[in-house]
Amino acid sequence: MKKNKLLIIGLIVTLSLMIIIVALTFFELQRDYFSNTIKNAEGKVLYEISSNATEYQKLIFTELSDVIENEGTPQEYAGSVVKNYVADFYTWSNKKGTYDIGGMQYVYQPEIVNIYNYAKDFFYRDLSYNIQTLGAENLLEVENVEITFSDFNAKIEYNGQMYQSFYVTANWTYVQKEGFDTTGYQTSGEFSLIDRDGKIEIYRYYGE
Amino acid sequence: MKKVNLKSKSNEFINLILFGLFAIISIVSVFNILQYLSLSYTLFIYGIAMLVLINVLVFILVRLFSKKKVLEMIMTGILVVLIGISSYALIYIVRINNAVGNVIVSDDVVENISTSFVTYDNTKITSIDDVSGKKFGIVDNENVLEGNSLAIEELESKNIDVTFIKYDTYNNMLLGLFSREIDVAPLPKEYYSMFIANDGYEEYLDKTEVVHEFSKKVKIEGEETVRKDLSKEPFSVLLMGNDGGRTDTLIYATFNPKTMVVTLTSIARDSYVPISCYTDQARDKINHSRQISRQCTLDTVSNLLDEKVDYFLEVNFDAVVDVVDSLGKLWIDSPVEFVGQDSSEDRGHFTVWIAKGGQFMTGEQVLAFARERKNMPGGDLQRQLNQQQVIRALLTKLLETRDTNAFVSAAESAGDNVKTNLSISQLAGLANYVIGEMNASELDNSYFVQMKNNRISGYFSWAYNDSLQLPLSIYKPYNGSIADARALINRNLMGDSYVPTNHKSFTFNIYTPYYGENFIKDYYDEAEVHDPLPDFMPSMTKESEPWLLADVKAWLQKRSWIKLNVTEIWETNPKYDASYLYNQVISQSVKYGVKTANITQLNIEIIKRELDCKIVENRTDEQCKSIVPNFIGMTRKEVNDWNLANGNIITFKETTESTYKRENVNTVISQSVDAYTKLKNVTGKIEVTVVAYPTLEITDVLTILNTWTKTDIENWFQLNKDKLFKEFSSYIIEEPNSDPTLTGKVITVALYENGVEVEKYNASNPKITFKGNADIRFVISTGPSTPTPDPGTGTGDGGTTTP
Repeated sequence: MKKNKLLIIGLIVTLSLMIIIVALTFFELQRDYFSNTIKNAEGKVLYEISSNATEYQKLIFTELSDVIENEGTPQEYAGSVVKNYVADFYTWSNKKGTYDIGGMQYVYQPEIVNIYNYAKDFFYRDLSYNIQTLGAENLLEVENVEITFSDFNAKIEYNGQMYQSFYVTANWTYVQKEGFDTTGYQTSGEFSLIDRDGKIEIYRYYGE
Repeated sequence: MKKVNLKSKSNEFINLILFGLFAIISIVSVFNILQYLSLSYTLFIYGIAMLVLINVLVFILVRLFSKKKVLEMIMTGILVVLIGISSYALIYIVRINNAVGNVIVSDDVVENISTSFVTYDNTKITSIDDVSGKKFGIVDNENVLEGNSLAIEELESKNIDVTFIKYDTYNNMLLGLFSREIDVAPLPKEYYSMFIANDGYEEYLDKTEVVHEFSKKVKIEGEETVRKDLSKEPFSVLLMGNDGGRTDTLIYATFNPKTMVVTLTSIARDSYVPISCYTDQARDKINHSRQISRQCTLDTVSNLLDEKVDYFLEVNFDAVVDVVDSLGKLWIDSPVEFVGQDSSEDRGHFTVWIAKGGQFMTGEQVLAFARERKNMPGGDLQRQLNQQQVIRALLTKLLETRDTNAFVSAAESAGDNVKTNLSISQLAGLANYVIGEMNASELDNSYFVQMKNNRISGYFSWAYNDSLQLPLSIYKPYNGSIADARALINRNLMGDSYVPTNHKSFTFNIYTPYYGENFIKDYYDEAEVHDPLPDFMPSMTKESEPWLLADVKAWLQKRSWIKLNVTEIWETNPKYDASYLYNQVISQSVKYGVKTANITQLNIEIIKRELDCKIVENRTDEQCKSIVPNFIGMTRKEVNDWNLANGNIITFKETTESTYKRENVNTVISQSVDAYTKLKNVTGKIEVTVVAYPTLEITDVLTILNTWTKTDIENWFQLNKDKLFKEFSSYIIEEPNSDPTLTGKVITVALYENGVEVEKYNASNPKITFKGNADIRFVISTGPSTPTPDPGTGTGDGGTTTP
C-alpha cells in the first residue's frame, strides 16, 4: 500500500509538472497575444507597443489608447498618431539594428514596404554601425513631442479611393546624452495623414 | 505461502519491456533532434522535459496498473500506441537528418570522384591496356585529383608505364590532347559538358573517346571553417551553380543579421581573373578554377573581391527542379517569352515554355529561366539578374513555408546535389532568429529581408591560346566594378572601411515611390587592356552584328600602329556574295584573338557594289563623292567654279523668254545630266541652262531724240519694268544744252560700261538692242547753262559745258 501511495504521489507530481509545461509552452507560443495593444470597437488590433519602448513612448501610447477608447476628436487622434510615430521613428536607443525601423505601424500601410526600405537605406542606414561602435543606449532618444497644429484637411484621392485627410505639425526634442551629438538631427515636421477605414495613418511629411 | 500470479507477472514484465523500448526510442529521438536546438531553446527544453515526464508517467502507470489484469492490458495497448507514434516520429527525424547530412559537408569530406581517360581521334587506343608507353597528360597541381593523383594511382595499380607531360590546367591539357602533344588525358567524368561552352571546342570534343573510367572515394581536406553565430555576425557565402560539371553561376552573397540585408554579387563565369591555385596566379576563366578544386574557386573569389569567403553553397542545377516542386511554385518575372531547355541531360530539349511577365513557375520552368542566356536581352548579364531573382524567390518561399513535409521533401530532393559547409545548427539558429524578427515586424515576410543586387561588370574579349591558335571568349571585369562591389560588400559586412553616411533627417511621400538603390553599372570608362583582334568576318552561328569597313576603321583609331589595307570585292569577283552588306568585311589576314600589340598590318576584304547615289543614305559613301551635283538653283558663278574644278565639262545655255523670271536671272533651271549621276558615268559635256537677262529693243532711236521727255522715258520704263534691272533714275542724265528748244527733251541715247560711254545711238545707228542689266542712259537737256565765275570746268559723263 505504501508503494502504491508513493506511485500515486509521483503520478500527481508528474501530471502537475506536465500541466505547467503545457501552460508555459502555450504562453511562449502566444507571447505576442499578451503584448500591450490598442484595438478598435471590433476587437481588431490597430497599434501595439514593443516591450522595449522608452518610458516616453509608453506614456504617449497610453494617450493614444485613451483618445481611441474615449472617442476623442479626429484631430486629437491624428495628433497622437504623429506623436507616437515621431517618438518611435526618431528613437534609436531601443532599436536592435538597421532593420528595426520604428513607427511603421503609423504610416500608410499599403506603401509600408517603400517607406520601410527608404528609411532603411537612408535615415536608418548607419544604425547598426552606430550601435556597434557607440552602443544603442547612447543613440537618439526622443524626449518630448509637441503637436503645434492638428486639424482636418481636404479630402484626397489615392489609388481611386477618397480619404479624409488631416494636417498636423509637430516639434520634438531629444534626450541629451554624452557621446552622441544630436545637433542637426530633425526636430520638426509637417505631417499629412488620412483616415483609412477608421485607422489614421501618415501618408507624407516634410521637416527639418 | 503467498500465491504468485505468474501470468500477471508476465504481463507486467512485457509492459516493462515495452516501456524500456519506448524510453530508448525517446532517448534516441532526443539525440537526433539536438542539432536543431538553436531553432528555439525554450521550446526544446520544454519538449525534452515533457518527454521525460511522459516516460515517468508511463513507468508509474505500468507499476500502478500491474495489479489488475484489465488495466495491465490497457497499459499494454497504450504502450504499443506510444511506441508506434514515437517510432514514426523517430523515422521522420532520421529522414530529415539523412537528407540534411547529405547536404552538409564537414571541413574534411569523403567524396566519390570519377575519372575518365580520354583520347582524341585515335583508333589505336581503345582500352586501358593500349595506354602503355603512350604520352599521358597530367595537371601539374597537387590540388587536382582526376588529372593528377588519382590518374597516377590508377596507372600504378595496373602497372602501366607512360610518359608524363605536364600542363598547368585541364584546359591546356585538353588543348594538348587536341593538338596531339599527348595521347591520353585524364579528365573529370563530366569533361564534355565542362568544356563544351568554350568557343570552337565542340568539334574537337566530338572526336574524343573515353577509353577507361574509374571511381574512387577520396577524403578531401578543406580549410577549417570558422563557426560564426550567424544570428549575430555578418557572413559571406559563395553560391556556386553547377550545370553538368561546369560552374555556370557564381554569386558572392553576404548577409548581415543586424541590418537584414542580403547582397548578391554575380561574377560572370567567363571572368578572366588570376586563379589562386595556378602557378604565379595565372589568369584564366574563373569557372575553370572549380575544375581544380572547390577550395581553388573559394580562394580565387576571395582574392578577386578582397573579402573572405566564410561559407559555400554548391548546387547542381538538377536539384532545382525537385526542390522547387517540393516547396511549391515560385513567383518570377521573365523579361521575355521563350522556350528553354528542360532538365534532361540531352542538349537541345527545348520544351519548356516561359511567358513574358510575372508568373508562378514550376521547377522545370525555374531551371529553364535560370539557365537561359541566348534569348535574354543582354545575354549572360541578364541571366545573372535572373538567377538572383530565382534566389530571392526561393528564399521568400522558404521563409513563407510552414509545411514541415515540404521542407523534408525539399531537403531530400537536394540530396547529393547540394553541398554546403554551413552547419545545421548554424542554419537553424539563423532561421530561428530571422523568423522571430520577421514575425515582430509590421512588414510582410517576403519583404523583411532586403536584397541588394549587384554584379561585376566588364567587357567581352578574347584570350588567345598559342598552342592551338584558338581564342577563348573571355569577360574582363572592370577594376571600377570590382571596387564598387567591394564597397557594397564591405558596407553590408560593416568591415573596417565602412563609411557612415550620417543622414540626419527623413521625409516621405507616398506619391513619390522609392525603388531602392541601384548598384549595377554596366560601363566604366577604363582603357581596354590586353585586347586581341576581334573576329571581323561574318558568322553563321554567332548572333553578332556584321563588321563594316567604318567599324573596323573606328576600332583601329585607338590602335594606330596597325596599318589597314582594304581590298574591294565587286560583283565581278568570284568571292562576291550578294547576301553580305555593302562594305561588310568578309576576310581578314590576321586571325581573330591575336593580340593587337603583335599586329602591324591588317588586310581585309570588303564587299562592294554599285551604289545609287540618288538615294540619300548612299551619298556619304566614297562612291558618291564624284557625282554630278544638283545644279538647279545654283548661280552661274557657282556652277562655273565647280566646272573649273572638274575638268571643264559644262556648257552653259541661256534662256530668257519662256522661263524668264526676274529673280531667276543667272540661276540654273535645268541640267542635261541627272543630278547625283556618278561622274565616271557621264559621257560628253553637261549642258546647264541658266536664266539670262532679257533683251530689249528700241527700233528707231530717232523717234526718241529731241522728242521724248522725262515722262515718255518713265512710261517706257514702266512698260518694261520686269526686264530692266536698274532704278528709273539711273537711266536719266540731265545736262545743259545750248539749244533752248530742246530743253526737257532727250538729246542723246547712249550705252555705258563702267561709267564710260561705249556706244551712242543716232541716225546712223538708230536701232538699240540691249540686255536688261545694260547701262543705257537717256540724256535730257536742262536748257542753256548759266555762266559761272570759274569757267572751264564741266560736270557729268559726256556732258558739256557752255562757255
